Amino acid sequence: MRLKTVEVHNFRQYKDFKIEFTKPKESDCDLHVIVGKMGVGKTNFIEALNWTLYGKGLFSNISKEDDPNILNNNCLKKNPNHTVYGRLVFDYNEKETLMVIRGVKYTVKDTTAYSLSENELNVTIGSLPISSGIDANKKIQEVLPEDLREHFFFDGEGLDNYFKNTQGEKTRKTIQRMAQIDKMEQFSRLLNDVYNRYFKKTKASEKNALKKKELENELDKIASKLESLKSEREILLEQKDRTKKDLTEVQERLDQMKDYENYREKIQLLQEQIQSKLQQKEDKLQEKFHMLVSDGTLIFAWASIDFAFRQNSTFSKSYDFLPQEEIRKALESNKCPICQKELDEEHIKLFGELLNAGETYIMSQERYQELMYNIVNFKYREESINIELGKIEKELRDLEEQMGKYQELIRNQDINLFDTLHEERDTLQKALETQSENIGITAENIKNLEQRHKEIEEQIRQLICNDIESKKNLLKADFVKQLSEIINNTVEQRKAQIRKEIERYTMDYLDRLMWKKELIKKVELDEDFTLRVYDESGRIILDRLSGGERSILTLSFAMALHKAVGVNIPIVIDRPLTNISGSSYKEMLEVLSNISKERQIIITLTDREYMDDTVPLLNQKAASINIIDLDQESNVYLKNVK
Amino acid sequence: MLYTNSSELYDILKSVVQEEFEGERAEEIISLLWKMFSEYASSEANEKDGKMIEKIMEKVDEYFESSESTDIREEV
Repeated sequence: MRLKTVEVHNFRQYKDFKIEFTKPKESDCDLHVIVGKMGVGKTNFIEALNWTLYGKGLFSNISKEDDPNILNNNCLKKNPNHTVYGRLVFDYNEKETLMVIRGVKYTVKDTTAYSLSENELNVTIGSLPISSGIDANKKIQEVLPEDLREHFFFDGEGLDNYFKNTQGEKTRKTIQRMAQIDKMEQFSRLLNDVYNRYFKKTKASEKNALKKKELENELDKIASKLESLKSEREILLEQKDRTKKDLTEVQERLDQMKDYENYREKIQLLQEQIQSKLQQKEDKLQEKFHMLVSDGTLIFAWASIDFAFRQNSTFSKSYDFLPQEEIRKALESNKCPICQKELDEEHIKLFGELLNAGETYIMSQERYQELMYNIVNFKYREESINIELGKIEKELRDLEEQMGKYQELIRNQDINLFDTLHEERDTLQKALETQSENIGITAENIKNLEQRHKEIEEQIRQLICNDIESKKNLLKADFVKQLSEIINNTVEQRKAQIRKEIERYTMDYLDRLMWKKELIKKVELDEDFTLRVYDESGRIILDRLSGGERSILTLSFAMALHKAVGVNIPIVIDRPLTNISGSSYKEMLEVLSNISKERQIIITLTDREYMDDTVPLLNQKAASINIIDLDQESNVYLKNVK
Repeated sequence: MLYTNSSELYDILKSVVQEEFEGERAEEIISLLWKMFSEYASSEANEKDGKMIEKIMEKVDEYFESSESTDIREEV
C-alpha cells in the first residue's frame, strides 16, 4: 500500500495544501522528499497525516480530533465558522484506492476556537463509501493500525534511540495485536467459558444435585479468584519488566558515570599524597629552622666575639684568645700581653703560628677548625635542605595540578545525579526483589488453586449421571477444552515463529542496508521481544553503534516487523538526517532509496540537509522532491516540485 | 479474515490440530476452529462475551450433531 495524495485544509500552517506522491514508471525507487526551512511546518505535515488517520498527533500534543489547537491561525482572525479537513488517498491494491477523510468544524469567538462537535470520518475503497464513524475507524485500524504507528512514523531525532527503554514491551504488544495473538488468547479464554457452560449442563442424581451445585459454586469462586490472580500476575510481571528496564537504564547511566567514581578515588589518593608531602615540607622547614637557629647563633657569636676582640680588649685574654693586634704589639715590644714577661723562643714560636693562622687567632686551632667545619657544613646542609624543599614543593605542585584536573572533571559531572542514581538503583533493586517474591507467591497460589480446581472438577465428574445428555455435554466440554489447548499451542508456536522471522528479516535488511557489513553478526529477540545485537565475538554491541548505524538498525527492525506481521505500509520519517554526521548523509539517503525499492518512503529534510552533497543523489534517486515554504500569511505552499 | 497475514496462523493451527487428530476429523476440526475464531476476531467488542459463547456452543452442537453417526456416537 502506498500514499498517493494528501490534501489538508486549515490544519495549522496548512491552509489549502495538496501534494501528490507519484512514482514515475521508469523509477524503481519510491522515495519522496519534502524540503523546507526550519519552522516551515514539515513536522506538522506528518502530524496532519496522523490526525487524519487517528484523530490525534504523534509528535505534538494533539490529544483529540477536535483539539482547537489544530486550527489555522489565520482562521482565528476571520469568519466565525471553519472546517479543518484532511484527505488521504492510498493505492490500496492494484485496482482500488483507499480514501480517508476527516473533518472537524469549529466556531471562533474572540480569537479563540471552539469545537462545534461536528466531526466526520469517512473511509472509501474504490468508489464505494464503505464506512463512516466507528466502522471507518475500524477499517483504518485494519489497514494502518495505530498500534504499529511508532513503527512507520518516525521522528528522525529518535531514530537512533529506538531500542532504549520499552522497545521490547512495545514490540510485544504490537505483535500480539498485529498477528492476532491477543485475539487468539482471548478466544482461548472464551473457549474455557464455553467449557464451563457444557460442564455445568451435566446433571447429577437427585441425591447428589445439591452437592454438585455446591461444588460448582466453589469452582466458580476458584475460577474467579484464579482470573484475578492471573491478572495480578500479569500486572506484577509488567511492573517487574518495567523495573528491570529502569534498572538497566540506571545501571547504564551509572556505567557511563563510572569515570566519576575513578576520579573520586584518584582525588582521595592525591589528597593523601599531598598531605604526606605537606608533612615532609613542614619537617624540612623545622629542620632548616633549627639549623638556622643553632648554626646561626654560632656564626653570630663568632662574629660578635671577633668584633669585640677587634674593638676592645676587655675580654680576658689567653694564649688561645689573643687578637692579632695584640700579637703584633707583643712582637714589637718583645713583651707578652698575658704573662707580661719578655718574649722567649716559645712565645715567639706560638705568636708566629697564631699570626700565620690568619683569623684563627681568637681561639684554638682545633676549635677554629671545628667552627669552620660547622659553618661549611651549615652552608652545605642549608643548600641540601633547600634542594629537598624545592623538590617537595615541585612534587606538591604536580600533585595539586593533578588534583585540580580531576576536580575539574568531577565538576563537569553532576554529583547530585550520581548520588541520586545510586539511590535509585538501590530502590529499584529492592523493588525488583519484592516484585519477584510477589510473583513467586502469586504463581504458587495459582498453582494451588488450579490443583484445587482440578480436584473439585474430578469430584463433580464422579457425581455426573450416566444419562446420554450429560455424557454428551461432558464430551462437548472435553472437546472444547481440547480446542482451547490447541489454540494455546498455536499462540506459543506463532510467537516463536514471529520471533525467528523478525530475527531473520532484520539480518536480511541489515545485510542489504548497513554500510559496514561486518559490524553486526547476529540479532536476537528474547522472550519479551527485546532486541539484542551481537558482533562476531558474541559481544552485545547496541550501545557501541553510531547514530547512523542505530538508525539503520531501527529501520531494518521496523521493516522486519512489518513483514513478519504481514503488513505493507509506507514509512514516513521526519528529518532522518538529524542525528547523522554530514559525511554520512549520502549513505543514509542511499539506504532510504534502497528501502524505497520495496516500500514507499516519505522523508522531510531541512534546506541545510538538501545541499550540494545530497542534491545530485536525490535528483537521481528520489521519485519526487517537494520544496515547501511559507507565504505572506504564514501558510505553507508548494514552492517547487521536481 | 483480517488484514494480517493470517495464513501463517492458519498453517500453525492446522499443524497443531493434525498432531491431535487424524484424517477427515482433523479437517473438520480445523474448519470448525477457524470459522469460530474468524467470527470471534471480527465480532464487535460488545458481542465478544455472552453472544459469542452462545454462537460457539451452537457451532459445537452442530458439529456434534453432524458427527453423531461417526466417532462421537461411538464414544457416547
